[in-house]
Amino acid sequence: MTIGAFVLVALAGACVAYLVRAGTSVGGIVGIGALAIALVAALAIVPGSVQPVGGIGMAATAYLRIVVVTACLAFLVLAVQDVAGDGGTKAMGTTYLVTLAALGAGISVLGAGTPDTPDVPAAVGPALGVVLAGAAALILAPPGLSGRGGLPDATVLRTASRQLRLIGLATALAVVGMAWLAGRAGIIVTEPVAVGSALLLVAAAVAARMGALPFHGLTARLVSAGPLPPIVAVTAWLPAAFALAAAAWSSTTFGPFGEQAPSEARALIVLLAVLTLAVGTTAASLADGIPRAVAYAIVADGGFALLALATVGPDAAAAARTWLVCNALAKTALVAWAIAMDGSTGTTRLADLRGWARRAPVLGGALAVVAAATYGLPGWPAFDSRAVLIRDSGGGLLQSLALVAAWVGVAIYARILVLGLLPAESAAGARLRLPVLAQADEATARRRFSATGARARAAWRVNAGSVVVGAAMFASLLAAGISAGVGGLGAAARDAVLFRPDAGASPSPSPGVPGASASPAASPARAPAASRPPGSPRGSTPPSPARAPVSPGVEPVARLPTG
Amino acid sequence: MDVATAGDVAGVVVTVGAAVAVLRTTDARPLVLATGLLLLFAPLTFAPRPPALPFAFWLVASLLATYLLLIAVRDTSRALAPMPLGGTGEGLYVLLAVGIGFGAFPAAGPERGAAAAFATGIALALAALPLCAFANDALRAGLGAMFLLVAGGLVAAGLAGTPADMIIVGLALAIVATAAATRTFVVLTHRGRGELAFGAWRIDPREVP
Repeated sequence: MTIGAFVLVALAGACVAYLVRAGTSVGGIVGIGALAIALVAALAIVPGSVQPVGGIGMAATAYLRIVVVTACLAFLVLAVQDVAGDGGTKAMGTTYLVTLAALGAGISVLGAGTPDTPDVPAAVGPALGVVLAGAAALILAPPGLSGRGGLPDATVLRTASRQLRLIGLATALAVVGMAWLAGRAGIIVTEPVAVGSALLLVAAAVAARMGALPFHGLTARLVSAGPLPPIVAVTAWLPAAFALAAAAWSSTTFGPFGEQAPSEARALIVLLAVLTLAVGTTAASLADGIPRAVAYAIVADGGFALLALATVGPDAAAAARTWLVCNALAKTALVAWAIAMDGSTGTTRLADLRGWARRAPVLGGALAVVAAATYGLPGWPAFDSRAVLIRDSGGGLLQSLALVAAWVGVAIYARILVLGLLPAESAAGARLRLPVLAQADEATARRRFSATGARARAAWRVNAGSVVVGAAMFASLLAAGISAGVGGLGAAARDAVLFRPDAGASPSPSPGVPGASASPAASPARAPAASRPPGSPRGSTPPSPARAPVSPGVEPVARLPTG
Repeated sequence: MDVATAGDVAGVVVTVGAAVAVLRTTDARPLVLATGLLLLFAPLTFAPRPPALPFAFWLVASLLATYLLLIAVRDTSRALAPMPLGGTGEGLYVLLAVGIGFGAFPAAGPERGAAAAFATGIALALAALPLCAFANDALRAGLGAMFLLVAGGLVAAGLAGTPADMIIVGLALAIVATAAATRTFVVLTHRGRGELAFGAWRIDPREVP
């Protein structure tokens, strides 16, 4: 199956789920069914295929397949929790399936060209990826899209409207920043000020989408106030797709000219990243409730996304791709845990949750696994990717601060776990609520269904709480597995994104562009044509030097089968 | 004046004029119609003009977006509060921004795109500023996001030439998505308050079917 077919399957499922979003369990089950079909379609994606669409190649790779499969599984978990839980809207399918379509389409186009259209500039793919991720986020901005009708809270609505404007701003900034270096003939600008300005524009766009400083307040309010399940799609997965596109631009288009950028521009971005990490982790560690802790944990992720943008090099690009997926999955697992906690205890205030882990050890274990998935253990791709991003962010004081800020976030999870292990002081802390089917409900069920159906319904209701908790544990284990490298995320990320048609020659600097470095894994085979000197007629190929030997330690561009 | 130049002039005049009209009017229906005109004429500032297929896609998307907003306004309310400076002040600096855009374009360097697109994009971005920052109603807030998207596309066209076909298609999809989201915001706000301005609900949400 091609990635285009997967996108169509996801969009079709989203339409069906939207039409059946009545808010009953039927709507929820239809959504789960559509997600299951999307999962099968995702597993059927054939890595290596390139599907031309309007001159752009939608390329499927192992990395893309891992991303969409893990996203499908994560959303299935949330959808099951939504149906099984007491407070769910029973209609999350639309949000998740639109997100899946955007992930598939947005990541597949990052390589831009096809074997038949090698002249497509490298910046087109990332720009298109940014626009597609932005379009999906825009349509999912209103609360209640997948809800059962009625009115959301007025504050939530206003916050979501602000988020809509912020998404528009971020998309516009990214498109302009990516176009800044280019003219009609491809890359033409190498002056330090222009190169630095382009980097800062794209960094501002990433900061706005990821909720980094100074946009953290809006993201935190949105996550704290809104229903968590759909919010995780809009604030974790779609921003991850946005940041992936920005990272692809950074490594393919910007990368060859990165040395032209003033060091102050990179330092400013790293400083912003460090401040975001510090503010996010501190606020999350001191939060009085679980939603607020989750909100500021998501804000802190924006800091790492900025680090991913500020670092240049093949290792950094692969690390960014690895970390973005691991992080989105870990945040989904955290949200699943938060939903299970709310359902099991009836409260999200940390002051009322003293001793919770003693009475819900499965949830305690799930949170510990989520923490391990977020930060990784030595040797795990998640751990290594964080280390690379910090290492390549530049030396000196900023790097040290980034290292400290990145690990202080463990305190978020440690605080909640320690609280859970303390003896409970009050009845609220000792209470653990499980949904129990009352006798009257069972009698009603017997009137509405056959005996077998009534027994099944009763069994479902009694065990629904366990389903919610089990789903949270599954999400945690999934996140930890991917962070540990199950499925080959690390290797796939190293070979990903640059789905450029093999142009034959290894990338080498154009004679018209001083200072462009020959780093084949960071700059695609298009780099020489994209950097032709100003004034040369469009479509002409500059004289390319003889095939340059690949530098030791640098991975060559992956060769894709044609046709 | 050749056809290309006439198209550029028409694109700039109608797009900027529509943006000024959006800032000045306090009636939602003309506001939406002005937005529709803006969307339809914005690509005329590209040089060269976009190919037929993506241009047609953009036109259809613009019409769809306008229709979504029109039915939202039809089913809710048309009355809007004036902009903080009355709309005239905002309109004047949008017009000024066009001149600044044309004046600053040569500084962008050689081998760039169309000056008309660049200047129009700068003007639209400045028109989006009061809509995003100071508008207190659901309709103008959504239009602010839409103006930002169009402005970004126009400025990018001014810097790097006519965008690739799929970029035009992607931006068109984003415009429709913004219109759909804005419609939802308008309907929900009107349902809660009986008007389009943000604020606390005037009805009990639990009573809404």
